[in-house]
Amino acid sequence: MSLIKVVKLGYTYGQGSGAPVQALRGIDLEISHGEYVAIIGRNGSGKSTLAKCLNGLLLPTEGDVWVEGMNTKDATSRLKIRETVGMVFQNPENQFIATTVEEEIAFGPENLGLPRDILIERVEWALREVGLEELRHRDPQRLSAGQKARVAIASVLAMQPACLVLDEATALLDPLARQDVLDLLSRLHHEGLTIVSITHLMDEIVRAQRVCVLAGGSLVLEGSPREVFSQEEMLVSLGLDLPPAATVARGLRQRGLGLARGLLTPRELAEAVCLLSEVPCG
Amino acid sequence: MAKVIVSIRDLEYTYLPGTPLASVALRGASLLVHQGEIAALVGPSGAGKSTLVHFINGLLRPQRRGQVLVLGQDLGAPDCDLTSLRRQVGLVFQFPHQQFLERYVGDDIAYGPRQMGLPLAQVRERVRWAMELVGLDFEAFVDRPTFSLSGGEMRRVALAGVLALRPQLLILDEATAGLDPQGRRQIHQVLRRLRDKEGMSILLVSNDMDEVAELADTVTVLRDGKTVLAGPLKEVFSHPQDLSRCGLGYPAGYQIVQEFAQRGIDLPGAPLRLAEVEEAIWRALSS
Repeated sequence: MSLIKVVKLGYTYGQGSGAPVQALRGIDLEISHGEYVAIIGRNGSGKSTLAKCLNGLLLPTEGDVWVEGMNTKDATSRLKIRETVGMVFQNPENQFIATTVEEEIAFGPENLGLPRDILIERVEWALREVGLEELRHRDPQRLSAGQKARVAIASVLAMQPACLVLDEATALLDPLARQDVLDLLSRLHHEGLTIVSITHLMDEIVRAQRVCVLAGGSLVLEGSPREVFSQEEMLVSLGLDLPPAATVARGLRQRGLGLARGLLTPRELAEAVCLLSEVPCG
Repeated sequence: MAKVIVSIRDLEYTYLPGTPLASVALRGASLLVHQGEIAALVGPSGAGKSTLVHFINGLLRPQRRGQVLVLGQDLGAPDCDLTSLRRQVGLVFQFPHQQFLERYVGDDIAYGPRQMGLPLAQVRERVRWAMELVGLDFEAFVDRPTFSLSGGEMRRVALAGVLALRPQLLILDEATAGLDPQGRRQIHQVLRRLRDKEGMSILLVSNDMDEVAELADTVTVLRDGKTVLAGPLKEVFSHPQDLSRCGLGYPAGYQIVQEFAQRGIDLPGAPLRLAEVEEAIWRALSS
């Protein structure tokens, strides 16, 4: 069984009002346990709406979303669904409610009514996972941006979800803090967590197992990073970036060089050019 | 050499000095911006970039050490004319919606020129000019409510509102973070146009090394409140180990050049911008 199954999902804001806006239309998507999926698209393409549909923060106005076989429209499963799929947003301070890091992380599991010893165990584990043991008594509002992002991730981890959905969680971080969070995510993924990340960050996109491209509320392209970035014309016409190596390769191809599509990294580009050239390459 | 617009030397600054909450933000920061260039100010968060920027239009004033000269005025002097300075230095922040003052796009862009007491016809002319510069169609956008704009449009309206003051120096503090690739490219085009057609001087505060490599003429690297590297773009990026010590990473073009170098292909001229890298590879193969 897939972890998340999205069937003919449509979402319209302000339905029944004078000016409804259709944000999503006819989306079919399945996410399996242990996947790392990147969702990309322009501002306003429906990415955040889709993310909010994945754990029932928004309920489909058309079609269905199933999480481990539970329909998000079924009110009796809602708590279980939110335990299964956790969300992290771009501005973590908007979701902080406690005055210490420890209490912040405990808030979710506490509200599940867990016994005290299990609660403590969960909080300790989550603190360790994100490396915040030392900062446990600090006020989350007064941490650096990178530390705040880690608190937000820890507070979701403490619910022991099967899947983490991140909505541009690294967009406002500096390069060092961003790399920190990406390393954390890839470690969690190795430990078996499913990750769905909405991102403009090329380094993250090319490392994902699957890339989904949204445009105008529809899922227009889906596949491995190599498959998706081979569709250069389509991505360019959608106003999306190619990886830098693919951008250079595309320019060289237009000058008549026989380079393959879907070169993702500087190394792949250099290797491909070496194969073409007479120059002996080390 | 072009005229120096901003000259900051050895600046030190402590927030709340003499109190238990005192915190040192700058400890020897220097910055030069020349007429008609795009200068980038980079550094990890907490390095003091925003603090330094706040000196340039007099939001902060020098304490004991350091000199701040902006457009010929000494900000350390008690008689410096802040009103005229602030009209000549335009600041655009990261969250444009926080600086909207009016409900409609046209009114918002007109706010500054109106405050300057310009006659109505001239205000309208300025609004039209600023909207054209940032690529917003006057007729289509002038009566749009500001809350109905997309993220990229908001940035451009905020930028137009600052440009309508016709500043000599434009400062953008992380003004493209969080924009989608197309929105970012549009802003980049606007900045190049402002430099090339209007001769405007631009200070770009950014953490995106690819953006810096594509746009900047000069780069100043700030770390722990101190300027650790400064100079023309290629010169600064020829110190990769210093940059990585600051946690800044390298632009993609640099990484591509390194991969070729490891395979014995030297791409001359230390290209950083992707178009230059492409050209250099093409030449290396043709020769």
